[in-house]
This record gives sequence, C-alpha cells and structure tokens, in this order.
Amino acid sequence: MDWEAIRLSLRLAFSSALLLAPLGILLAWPLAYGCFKGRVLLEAVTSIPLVLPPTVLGFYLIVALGPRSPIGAAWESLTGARLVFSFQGLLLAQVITNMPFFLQPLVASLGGVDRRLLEVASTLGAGRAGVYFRVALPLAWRGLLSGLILSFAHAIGEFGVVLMVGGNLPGKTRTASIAIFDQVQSFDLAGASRTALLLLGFAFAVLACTSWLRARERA
Amino acid sequence: MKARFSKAFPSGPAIEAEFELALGSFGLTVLFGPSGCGKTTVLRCLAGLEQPDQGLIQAGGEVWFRPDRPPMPPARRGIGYVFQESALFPHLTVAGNIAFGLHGWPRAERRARVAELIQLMGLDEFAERRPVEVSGGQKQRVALARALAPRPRLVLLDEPFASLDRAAADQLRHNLRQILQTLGVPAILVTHDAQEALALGDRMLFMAEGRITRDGTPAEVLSATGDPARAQMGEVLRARVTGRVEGLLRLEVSGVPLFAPDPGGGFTEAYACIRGEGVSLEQGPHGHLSQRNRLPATIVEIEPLGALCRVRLDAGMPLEALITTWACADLGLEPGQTVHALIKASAIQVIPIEA
Repeated sequence: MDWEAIRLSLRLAFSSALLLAPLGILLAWPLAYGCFKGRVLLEAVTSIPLVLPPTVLGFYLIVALGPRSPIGAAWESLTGARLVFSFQGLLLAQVITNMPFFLQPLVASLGGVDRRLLEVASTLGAGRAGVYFRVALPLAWRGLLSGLILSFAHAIGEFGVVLMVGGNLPGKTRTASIAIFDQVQSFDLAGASRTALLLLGFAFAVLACTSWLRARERA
Repeated sequence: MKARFSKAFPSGPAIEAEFELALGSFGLTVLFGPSGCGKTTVLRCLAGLEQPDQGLIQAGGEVWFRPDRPPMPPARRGIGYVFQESALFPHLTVAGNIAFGLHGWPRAERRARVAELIQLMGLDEFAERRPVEVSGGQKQRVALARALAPRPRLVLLDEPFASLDRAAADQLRHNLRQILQTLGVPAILVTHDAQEALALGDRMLFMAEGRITRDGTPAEVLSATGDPARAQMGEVLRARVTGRVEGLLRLEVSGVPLFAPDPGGGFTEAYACIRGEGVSLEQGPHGHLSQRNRLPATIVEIEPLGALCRVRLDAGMPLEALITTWACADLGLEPGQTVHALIKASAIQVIPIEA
C-alpha cells in the first residue's frame, strides 16, 4: 500500500477541515438567517462545486491560482513558491471544493433551530453575533459535526480537482485516490484494490456516522 | 412609554394600537381580547420582534420605532419577553438560562443576581438541571426569571399560563404580581381569560378585531365590552372579605353582605361573579329574612329572551336574575316593584384579587 499517499490524504483532509470550519461557520450565518438580496447568489456560488465537473472547477482554480493570476503572483512574491502543483494550492482548492459539503448540513440544522429561541435571545440583549454564536450554533452542533465529517471525507476522496490543481507529485500532491488511479494505470490491481478497500471502509463509516447524527437530530 | 402604530396583514384585519404606559414603577396592564385579535402582534411590535408599518413607539426619550428610521433592535430596548411556551435554551441549565441576559456583567454580580432570582422564584433545587428535566410550571418560572434578570424596564408576558396545567397556572398566577411588585417592574400581560385579567390587572386594554377599543380598570372595561367570556360570568362585583365561616366567605359588596364558597388563600379583596341562572326571585316579605343571600331588590328592567327573561335588579348592587317567562308572568313582575332576590351561594364565583 502507498502509505505516503494515504498520509498525505489525511494531512490534506485534516488541514482543509481546519481551515474550512471557521470560514464555513461564518458563511452559514447569512445563508441560514440572512434576508438580503444577494442571498440566492451566495447560495448558488457556495453550492457550485456540487454540480460542476471537477475538471471544470480544477481548470478555473488553475487559472485563478496560477503564477500569472493576482493570487498566484502574490503568493509567489510572499513565499517564493508556486501555488499550483503545491500542497498549499491543493489545500486551497480542497477548501473551495468541499465547502458545500460542510455548509449544507450546517445550514439545514441552523434552519431547524426554534425561531423563538433566537427571538428570546435577542430580547435578552444578545446582538446578531450573540444570537448566532451563543444560541443558534450550539443548538445546531449536529449539523456542524455532520458537515465536518462529510467535508473531511470528501476531501479524502476528491480526485478530479486534485489531479488538475495538484498534479501527481509523490509526497506533495499524490493523494490516495490518485495513487489508486496510478496503480490501475500500471496494472498493479492488487495494490489498487487494497487502497480502494480502505477508502470504501472509510466512506461507509462516515455515512453511518452522519445518518446516525441526523436521526438523533430528528428525535 | 408612548405607542401608536398600525400593521396591515394580507389576511385578516390590520392591527391598530394606541396607548401610553408609565415605566419606572410596578403596574400590571392586561391586554385582553378574543384569540386572534392581534394581541400577540402588538406585543411583538413593542419588543421589536416585528415591525409596524406606520406609527411611533417611544420610551424614556428613545425612539424604538419610526417608519423613516431603522428600528431599535430588541436587544437594546431593555424589555423582558415571556412566550406562551417557555422557550428555554435547551443547551443551558436553569441557572445558565437565567444568566443569559447578564452577559457582560461582572462575574460576582452575575452570580448574585442569578442566585437572587432563583430564590425569588423558588427554583433552588433546579438550578443545575436542564430544561427537559423540569416541569412545565417550573419552566415558565425559569422563563420569567430569565426575562427579569437583566432588570428590564418593561416585561411583556404573552399568555404565560396558557401552556400550563391548572394547578401550576394557579400557583404561578398567585406569585406573578408579588414578584413583579417586589422587583418594581411594569408589565403587559396578554390574555383572553377574563378571570385572569380580573385577578391580576390594574388596568385593562381591550382589543377586538385588531384595535384597542377600551382602556380602564379590568372590571369597568369588562362590563362595558359585552365580551362573551364576560357575559358568561354574569355580574362582576368588587367585594371585600369580612369573614370566613364554615367554609364560606362572608363578603361585602357596596355594603350588602353575601356568602360564597371559599376558594382558599388568604386574600382580602375579590370579585364576586353572580350568574343570572343562580338567582331566583320571590315576592313579598314572607320567608326567613335571616336566610343567607336573600336580598331585597327593586326591579329595574325586564328583558324577554324567548322562554326566559332577564330581570335586572337593584339590590344595593347591580344584579340580574334569569327566570322563565312563565315564572315572570306568574309573579306578576314589573319594573319598579320590590322583590326578594335569592342567590345560591354555590352560584357565586369568587375571583381573589392578587395583592
């Protein structure tokens, strides 16, 4: 088994969850409770990665992060390294790709929080941020946890965007799902099946977790 | 506080409210009216949870609502709100719920305030429990404590007893006035229960079809409105308790003595509600004058109602008797005539006025 690739996948998924959570928590707020004109647009933008082919997303990310883009150029002048085909670039791509998997369960849970609790909190002197962080978010913890698990799992499994933005550099951007692709290409079916089985088991455990959480929330 | 506002709805009548309310000292104003007349909307507009379309809400020199400005957010209005169902935060303990509005207070003061309210509400045993672990009556006490903790300028109570069983509701009702009085907080209580309004209110705003139509003491307003709940209660008379004998209360209504069943409790003021069905009439001075609740009365008016007629009497206090038309003819009753009114003690409902 290609342990280096598995280690890299785990590292990538953990880091992206770590970055994604605070960002997603801030994004979920207007998505769940905002009443402004741009909400539909925000909703569409944050769910685009769900329906766009990974290659298309990957293509635009290369364009956006490449050395000639403002982001890529700024990164290069700051760190002296390129953003595309690097772990950092891959991480950024993962955060964007996996955001909807984090947001959807969280926004659904936030929407299910009893409105009166939010209203009571506001009469007790809590401002918008107070209502969100002291009442809504703690009560939507199951959605938060589901979102974390799902986005983590999806980060482990992502293939298309990773291949487009990261390429296939061992130890840097060659993740487990890309290793399987490589193994199949080189007719190492035994190796591919071991890695595949590991990912299958992982996916199953993740889905069991999230559906258990969802069932508890309804109860 | 001055409020004058209106709010339209796509279905149903528009809400129109206009009243003034003194802040700064205790006083319990009942916002009374049938279900669906817009009482809750008025309360929500005062709290800032909903916004009127037109009008002005002002309190203590601050503008809470004006159509041409962003409304003052609920958090800054200094109000306490108690919902029909307690709406406690399920992720916090009873003490945590009460402390919610004290965010930003120094730790020691916050603790002292929570302890004070827990004691005032009799919640000592439950402080560390979660809302799911306490009864409905206790939940509503916690909700009240939570609303009162940050020293609001005004407390808004939206049918706070409606979700409780009768015993729990009676107990909380009994404490409510006392608690608000102790803390010196004015309150608006929304209810459609006439007895509750009489027992608790200093003042009543009567609301019907979206408009506040009357303003006065609960007894005055109720008598003037012809509210069906009020009609069912018969004559509502203010009474003073002058004694307690053999399980009966001895009451005095404008100098006239009455005996009525004692609902219990050490109250000294009450309303006696006398329904026409419980009053019969007899003519002349025969019978035992010592009989309880036998009052000489003058007939004021006879109103035929088909098989029955309503006889309005003056017995030193207003009274009405509902008797069959046949009995009316048999007795030869006419306005101006003097008769004796017999009131069954069990037909007198006593509503203690909470001190």
